[in-house]
Amino acid sequence: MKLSIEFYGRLKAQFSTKPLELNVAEPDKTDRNTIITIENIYLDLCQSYGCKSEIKIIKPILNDTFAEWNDPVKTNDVIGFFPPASGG
Amino acid sequence: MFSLSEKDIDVIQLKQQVINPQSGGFVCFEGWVRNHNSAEGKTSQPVLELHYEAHPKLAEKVGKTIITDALQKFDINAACCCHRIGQLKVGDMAIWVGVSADHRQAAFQACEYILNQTKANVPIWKNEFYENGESGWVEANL
Repeated sequence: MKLSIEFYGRLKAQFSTKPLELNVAEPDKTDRNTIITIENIYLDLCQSYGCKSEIKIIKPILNDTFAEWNDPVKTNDVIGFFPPASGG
Repeated sequence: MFSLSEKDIDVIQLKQQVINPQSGGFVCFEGWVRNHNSAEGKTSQPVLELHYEAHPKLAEKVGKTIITDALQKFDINAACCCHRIGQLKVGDMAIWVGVSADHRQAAFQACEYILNQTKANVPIWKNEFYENGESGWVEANL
Protein backbone atom coordinates (compact mmCIF):
# COMPACT_ATOMS: atom_id res chain seq x y z
CA MET A 1 0.00 0.00 0.00
CA LYS A 2 1.05 3.57 -0.70
CA LEU A 3 1.56 6.03 2.19
CA SER A 4 2.64 9.64 2.29
CA ILE A 5 4.74 10.76 5.26
CA GLU A 6 5.16 14.39 6.35
CA PHE A 7 7.55 15.83 8.91
CA TYR A 8 7.24 19.16 10.70
CA GLY A 9 9.59 21.50 12.54
CA ARG A 10 12.93 20.03 13.56
CA LEU A 11 11.88 16.59 12.30
CA LYS A 12 12.39 17.89 8.77
CA ALA A 13 16.10 18.22 9.49
CA GLN A 14 16.22 14.74 11.01
CA PHE A 15 14.14 12.89 8.43
CA SER A 16 13.14 14.73 5.28
CA THR A 17 12.22 18.27 4.29
CA LYS A 18 9.89 16.93 1.61
CA PRO A 19 7.04 14.43 2.07
CA LEU A 20 8.09 10.81 1.62
CA GLU A 21 6.17 8.29 -0.44
CA LEU A 22 6.33 4.81 1.06
CA ASN A 23 5.22 1.51 -0.38
CA VAL A 24 4.60 -1.10 2.30
CA ALA A 25 3.10 -4.57 2.11
CA GLU A 26 -0.71 -4.74 2.32
CA PRO A 27 -1.85 -6.32 5.58
CA ASP A 28 -3.59 -9.68 5.43
CA LYS A 29 -7.19 -8.88 6.45
CA THR A 30 -7.57 -12.32 7.99
CA ASP A 31 -4.51 -11.96 10.19
CA ARG A 32 -4.54 -9.19 12.84
CA ASN A 33 -0.80 -9.63 13.34
CA THR A 34 -0.15 -8.11 9.91
CA ILE A 35 -1.93 -4.81 10.67
CA ILE A 36 0.44 -1.89 10.24
CA THR A 37 0.19 0.98 12.72
CA ILE A 38 1.57 4.51 12.73
CA GLU A 39 4.05 3.32 15.36
CA ASN A 40 5.33 0.59 13.02
CA ILE A 41 5.90 3.16 10.30
CA TYR A 42 7.61 5.62 12.65
CA LEU A 43 9.95 3.03 14.17
CA ASP A 44 10.97 1.81 10.70
CA LEU A 45 11.72 5.40 9.70
CA CYS A 46 13.79 5.94 12.85
CA GLN A 47 15.81 2.85 11.97
CA SER A 48 16.25 3.90 8.33
CA TYR A 49 17.35 7.43 9.23
CA GLY A 50 19.37 6.51 12.32
CA CYS A 51 17.15 8.61 14.60
CA LYS A 52 16.29 7.96 18.22
CA SER A 53 12.63 7.09 18.79
CA GLU A 54 10.70 9.91 20.51
CA ILE A 55 7.27 8.34 20.82
CA LYS A 56 6.60 10.06 24.15
CA ILE A 57 7.41 13.50 22.70
CA ILE A 58 6.16 13.40 19.12
CA LYS A 59 2.46 13.59 18.20
CA PRO A 60 1.28 11.63 15.17
CA ILE A 61 -1.43 12.85 12.83
CA LEU A 62 -3.38 10.86 10.27
CA ASN A 63 -5.04 12.61 7.32
CA ASP A 64 -4.86 16.01 9.06
CA THR A 65 -6.35 14.74 12.34
CA PHE A 66 -4.60 13.98 15.63
CA ALA A 67 -4.08 10.23 15.86
CA GLU A 68 -2.88 7.51 18.23
CA TRP A 69 0.32 5.57 17.72
CA ASN A 70 -1.59 2.28 17.50
CA ASP A 71 -4.00 3.53 14.80
CA PRO A 72 -3.83 1.26 11.75
CA VAL A 73 -2.90 2.77 8.40
CA LYS A 74 -4.40 2.06 5.01
CA THR A 75 -3.41 2.83 1.46
CA ASN A 76 -3.26 6.54 0.46
CA ASP A 77 -3.14 7.66 4.10
CA VAL A 78 -1.11 10.78 4.89
CA ILE A 79 0.80 10.39 8.14
CA GLY A 80 2.43 13.37 9.84
CA PHE A 81 4.74 13.73 12.81
CA PHE A 82 4.71 16.82 15.07
CA PRO A 83 7.60 17.68 17.39
CA PRO A 84 6.70 19.79 20.46
CA ALA A 85 5.27 23.15 19.45
CA SER A 86 7.53 26.20 19.70
CA GLY A 87 5.37 29.11 18.67
CA GLY A 88 5.07 32.47 20.35
CA MET B 1 -11.18 33.76 17.55
CA PHE B 2 -7.81 32.31 16.65
CA SER B 3 -6.08 32.96 13.36
CA LEU B 4 -2.79 32.56 11.53
CA SER B 5 -1.45 35.34 9.38
CA GLU B 6 1.13 35.37 6.60
CA LYS B 7 1.13 39.19 6.69
CA ASP B 8 1.82 41.77 9.41
CA ILE B 9 -0.61 41.35 12.29
CA ASP B 10 -3.39 43.94 12.05
CA VAL B 11 -3.72 44.98 15.69
CA ILE B 12 -6.47 47.53 15.07
CA GLN B 13 -8.67 44.96 13.36
CA LEU B 14 -8.02 42.36 16.08
CA LYS B 15 -8.77 44.83 18.88
CA GLN B 16 -12.13 45.56 17.27
CA GLN B 17 -13.01 41.89 17.79
CA VAL B 18 -12.65 42.10 21.58
CA ILE B 19 -13.95 45.59 22.33
CA ASN B 20 -17.48 45.62 23.72
CA PRO B 21 -19.55 47.93 25.92
CA GLN B 22 -19.87 45.56 28.89
CA SER B 23 -16.09 45.40 29.41
CA GLY B 24 -14.30 47.63 31.86
CA GLY B 25 -10.84 46.67 30.70
CA PHE B 26 -8.72 45.21 27.94
CA VAL B 27 -5.39 43.38 28.22
CA CYS B 28 -3.18 42.49 25.30
CA PHE B 29 0.19 40.85 24.76
CA GLU B 30 2.44 41.36 21.77
CA GLY B 31 5.29 38.90 21.17
CA TRP B 32 8.12 40.30 19.04
CA VAL B 33 11.13 38.78 17.30
CA ARG B 34 14.21 39.37 19.48
CA ASN B 35 17.66 40.09 18.05
CA HIS B 36 19.13 37.20 20.06
CA ASN B 37 18.06 33.75 21.14
CA SER B 38 17.83 32.68 24.74
CA ALA B 39 18.19 28.90 24.83
CA GLU B 40 18.83 27.84 28.40
CA GLY B 41 22.39 26.67 28.98
CA LYS B 42 23.57 27.84 25.57
CA THR B 43 25.46 30.92 24.49
CA SER B 44 23.10 33.60 23.20
CA GLN B 45 23.45 34.09 19.45
CA PRO B 46 22.56 37.15 17.37
CA VAL B 47 19.34 36.40 15.44
CA LEU B 48 18.61 37.97 12.06
CA GLU B 49 15.19 36.50 11.35
CA LEU B 50 12.77 33.69 12.16
CA HIS B 51 10.66 31.36 10.12
CA TYR B 52 7.42 30.11 11.66
CA GLU B 53 5.96 26.95 10.16
CA ALA B 54 2.51 25.64 11.08
CA HIS B 55 0.06 22.91 10.25
CA PRO B 56 -2.66 25.45 9.41
CA LYS B 57 -5.71 23.22 9.77
CA LEU B 58 -4.77 21.78 13.14
CA ALA B 59 -3.24 25.04 14.39
CA GLU B 60 -6.54 26.84 13.88
CA LYS B 61 -8.48 23.96 15.41
CA VAL B 62 -6.29 23.82 18.54
CA GLY B 63 -6.19 27.61 18.77
CA LYS B 64 -9.97 27.90 18.67
CA THR B 65 -10.24 25.29 21.42
CA ILE B 66 -7.84 27.34 23.58
CA ILE B 67 -9.96 30.48 23.12
CA THR B 68 -13.16 28.56 23.90
CA ASP B 69 -11.54 27.08 27.03
CA ALA B 70 -10.42 30.55 28.16
CA LEU B 71 -13.93 31.94 27.73
CA GLN B 72 -15.27 29.14 29.95
CA LYS B 73 -12.45 29.17 32.49
CA PHE B 74 -12.21 32.92 33.16
CA ASP B 75 -14.78 35.66 33.73
CA ILE B 76 -14.02 37.44 30.45
CA ASN B 77 -16.17 38.82 27.65
CA ALA B 78 -14.09 38.27 24.52
CA ALA B 79 -10.68 36.92 23.49
CA CYS B 80 -8.66 36.79 20.33
CA CYS B 81 -5.25 35.46 19.28
CA CYS B 82 -3.33 35.80 16.03
CA HIS B 83 0.02 34.12 15.25
CA ARG B 84 2.28 35.01 12.35
CA ILE B 85 3.67 32.34 10.05
CA GLY B 86 6.39 32.64 7.41
CA GLN B 87 9.54 34.75 7.50
CA LEU B 88 9.81 37.44 10.21
CA LYS B 89 12.55 39.97 10.87
CA VAL B 90 13.79 41.36 14.20
CA GLY B 91 11.09 43.59 15.67
CA ASP B 92 8.22 41.99 13.77
CA MET B 93 5.22 40.95 15.83
CA ALA B 94 4.93 37.16 16.06
CA ILE B 95 1.85 36.83 18.23
CA TRP B 96 -0.95 39.04 19.52
CA VAL B 97 -3.37 38.08 22.29
CA GLY B 98 -6.20 40.35 23.40
CA VAL B 99 -8.82 39.86 26.11
CA SER B 100 -11.62 42.07 27.38
CA ALA B 101 -13.41 41.61 30.69
CA ASP B 102 -15.54 43.41 33.25
CA HIS B 103 -12.52 43.52 35.58
CA ARG B 104 -8.76 43.46 35.04
CA GLN B 105 -7.74 40.38 37.01
CA ALA B 106 -9.62 37.92 34.80
CA ALA B 107 -8.35 39.69 31.68
CA PHE B 108 -4.70 39.41 32.78
CA GLN B 109 -5.11 35.76 33.75
CA ALA B 110 -6.90 34.79 30.56
CA CYS B 111 -4.35 36.60 28.39
CA GLU B 112 -1.48 34.68 29.99
CA TYR B 113 -3.41 31.41 29.77
CA ILE B 114 -4.06 31.85 26.04
CA LEU B 115 -0.43 32.76 25.41
CA ASN B 116 0.97 29.81 27.37
CA GLN B 117 -1.46 27.31 25.86
CA THR B 118 -0.72 28.58 22.36
CA LYS B 119 3.04 28.28 22.83
CA ALA B 120 2.69 24.77 24.26
CA ASN B 121 -0.01 23.21 22.11
CA VAL B 122 -0.66 24.94 18.81
CA PRO B 123 1.31 23.15 16.05
CA ILE B 124 3.62 26.01 15.14
CA TRP B 125 7.40 25.66 15.00
CA LYS B 126 10.13 28.31 15.04
CA ASN B 127 13.33 28.15 13.01
CA GLU B 128 15.90 30.81 13.93
CA PHE B 129 18.40 32.20 11.42
CA TYR B 130 21.61 33.49 12.99
CA GLU B 131 24.10 36.17 12.08
CA ASN B 132 26.79 33.51 11.47
CA GLY B 133 24.71 31.99 8.65
CA GLU B 134 23.50 28.98 10.63
CA SER B 135 19.92 28.18 11.58
CA GLY B 136 18.23 26.05 14.20
CA TRP B 137 14.78 24.83 15.17
CA VAL B 138 13.86 26.12 18.60
CA GLU B 139 12.50 23.99 21.42
CA ALA B 140 9.42 25.24 23.25
CA ASN B 141 10.20 28.02 25.74
CA LEU B 142 7.31 27.67 28.19
